[in-house]
Amino acid sequence: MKTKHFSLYSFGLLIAAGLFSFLGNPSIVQAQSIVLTNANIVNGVTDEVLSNASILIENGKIKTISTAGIAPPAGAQVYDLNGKYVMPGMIDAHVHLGDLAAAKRALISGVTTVRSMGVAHFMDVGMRELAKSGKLDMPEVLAAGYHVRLRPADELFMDHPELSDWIGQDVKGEEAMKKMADVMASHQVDWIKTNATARAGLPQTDPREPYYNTSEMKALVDAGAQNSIPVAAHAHGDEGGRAAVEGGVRSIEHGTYLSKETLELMAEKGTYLVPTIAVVNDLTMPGGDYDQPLLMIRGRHMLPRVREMARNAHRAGVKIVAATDTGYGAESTLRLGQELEELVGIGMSNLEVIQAATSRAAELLQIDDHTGRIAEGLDADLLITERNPLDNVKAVYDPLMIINNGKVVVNRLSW
Amino acid sequence: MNKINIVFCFIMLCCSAGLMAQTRVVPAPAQEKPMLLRGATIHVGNGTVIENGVIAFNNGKIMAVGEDGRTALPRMAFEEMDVSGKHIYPGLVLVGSNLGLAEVSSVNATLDQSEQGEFNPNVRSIVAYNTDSELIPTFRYNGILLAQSTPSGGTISGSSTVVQLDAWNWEDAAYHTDDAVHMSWPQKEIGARWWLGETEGRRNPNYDGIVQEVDDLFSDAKAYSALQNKDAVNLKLEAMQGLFDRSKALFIHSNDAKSIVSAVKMARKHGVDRIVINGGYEALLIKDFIKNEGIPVVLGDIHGLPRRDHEDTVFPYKMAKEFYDAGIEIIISGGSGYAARNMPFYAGTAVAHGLPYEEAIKAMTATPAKALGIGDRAGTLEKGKDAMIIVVEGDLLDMRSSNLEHAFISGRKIQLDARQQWLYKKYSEKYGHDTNKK
Repeated sequence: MKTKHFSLYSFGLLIAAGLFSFLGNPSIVQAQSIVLTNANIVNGVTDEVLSNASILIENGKIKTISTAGIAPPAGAQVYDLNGKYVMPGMIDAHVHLGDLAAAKRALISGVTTVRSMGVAHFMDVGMRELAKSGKLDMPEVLAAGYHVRLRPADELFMDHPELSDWIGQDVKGEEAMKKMADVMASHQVDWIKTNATARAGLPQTDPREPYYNTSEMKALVDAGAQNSIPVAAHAHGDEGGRAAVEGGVRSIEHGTYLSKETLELMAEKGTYLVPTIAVVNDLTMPGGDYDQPLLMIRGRHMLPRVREMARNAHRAGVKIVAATDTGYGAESTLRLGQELEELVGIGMSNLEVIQAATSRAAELLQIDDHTGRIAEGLDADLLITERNPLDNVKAVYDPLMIINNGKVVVNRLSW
Repeated sequence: MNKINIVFCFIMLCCSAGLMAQTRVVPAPAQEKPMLLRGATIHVGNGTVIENGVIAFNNGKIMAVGEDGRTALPRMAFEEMDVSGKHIYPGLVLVGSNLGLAEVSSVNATLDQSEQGEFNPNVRSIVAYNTDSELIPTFRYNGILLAQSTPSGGTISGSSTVVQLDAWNWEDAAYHTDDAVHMSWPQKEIGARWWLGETEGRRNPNYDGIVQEVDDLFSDAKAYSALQNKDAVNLKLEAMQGLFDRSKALFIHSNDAKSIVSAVKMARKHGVDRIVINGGYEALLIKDFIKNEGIPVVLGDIHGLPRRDHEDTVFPYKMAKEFYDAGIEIIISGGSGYAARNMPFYAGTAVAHGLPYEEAIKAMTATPAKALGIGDRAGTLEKGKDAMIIVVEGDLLDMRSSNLEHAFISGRKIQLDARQQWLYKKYSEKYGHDTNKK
């Protein structure tokens, strides 16, 4: 009797200990050590390629980088990269992942971090936690919950029936913005996503139509700042976009019709631009994420404008970050590589483009303390390519190996 | 004078017949005696392998397959063949070939694979199939016993037929008549016209129009099927009917991901059940879509170069494994043209790049047979199926060791010696390099 009691007790203790360690250490990382040898390292920050380098990965982190060789610890898995290129896993700063299969699809395309920019039911918050659990192969997720916009998604009212007064009404005014920011913060989002102008991806809206003025934007930004949550503003038209910039948002998404003046203001204030040019190209083409005749026509006049705007932004010194704006759906053909090609097309150097998908993006997302670069002590989020992405950014289309938090999720090296 | 002439002609005829006999392949007569092959490793075609196997067949049908000593054999006077140490595979099935329709690609007079016009579902490749094609023996020599003789050109190219490669005429060759309708979906994007100084591709201006026409054809065909009393037969619409009752498959020839999605959705909208993607270079981008739709993909260019400059040189070698990992059925094909005889070696390359060996065999036997609607008769070595069997010394997928020794089409032991072997012998004599191979 006594022994049984004891065993039950110790069993309970074990469970408690297990639970505790799980909660106390949210990211369960890979226990196995990995050594990559004969690597050419593109660190995501500088133009220099570190040749003949070895990388030791332990507990999901980059422990050592050396050109003098690394003696593999006992039990370590060694991969000879044979001169292949190692760059930081890419960051897609604007996605709409709807399920875990989509998250996996993003990961195996070389994206190890995503910023969710609007989904229903705070799915992205759950995804973030699942990613942290380490039990699923998926990118690190930064969540934003719902779009803060004139007419929020119906699902928001299902999650928050107490907001029913807003149904059928425009969510406008400083008070409403504060309240929306608080609702989002109550779900522990990492970002607030707002629509400063109407959408481009719906045939009945005009993307140039402004939704909010500067004081409303400022109210939202200030309310977010109370909980240290930055704001990203979807904006196509210049008036809405300018209000967002003046209101102090951290990034402008799309920015299709932004004037040079607004871009100069962005450069001055340090506002980031996420132009998502490739998705506008997708608008113009049949199939893919958008397949609607009116949107094709719209896309055809938007595409040259968004390219021109991004070119102006780059010249004005605005910090540009790469993103797809895709859901990585089963029928989606949009991948981050297409955006990198677009960014090269607007005159950015290959290095700037790689930064836009790695270190620069991490800076925008305020996660540069643990990812977005290849450096000792950072997360082992790595993308291994056949050729040097600094010579041609298209190299990222063909990931030979992907390491996510120290775990090998794609390995085609041996073929 | 007249008499001399006749005698002369007769002698000449005899001489030429004697010469021809060395290169001409005579179709084998029907199987006379029950056959038993003993001792080989049998690759069934569905993934299973039988070591020290035995296979019996009579009247063109397989009677028993299994491990020697553990398999019940019917009591018959078998002609037994010891094939120990060798490998037995099902006869390979070649998908998307223009065999018998095109002889020498540069000689127009030998080409009969495409028809005028854009929409020709009623065009039947089988009536153009040339059983005397010199290419046929070269295909058989590498293990291909069944081939889909496929029309091309236009948007709806026509209906293909599966032929067996040992026949006097096209009627005998037809193994499964009108197995599929072939559709080439228009390209959404057209490449840059460099001769006009263009650097970027553009949208195909005719895309919407062509898609609308295809859609209309399917709608009309569907409506036609509902007609009770047809005043007049419409051959085009009649030829489409098999798509709706599953008797024909729809082969979509496209490499572009968005086009594949559009084509599949269009076909599904009209109730087409059996769909096969031929090409599918970009299909890896939408593998979840293809998997959910349950569509097999034909890989016809494994030894080709990558199409995009950012891809690894060996990317086409790796595609089969990628599809397999994604849970998509793959069909390995030698593609259109004479080089299709190298199909087993293409499969060998896919194996060298990660595809499991038996999956590669399956991708040339069971999977294509199923896709072509002959899965109940061919594609695997199972009791009751047609005896389509090849016996190989060495590894069928390795061009260094593969040596096909015997081949049976519906139990008929076919002649393997043909023009290429004859030429090989001729020049072996000249240069003295005969390696005792056939």
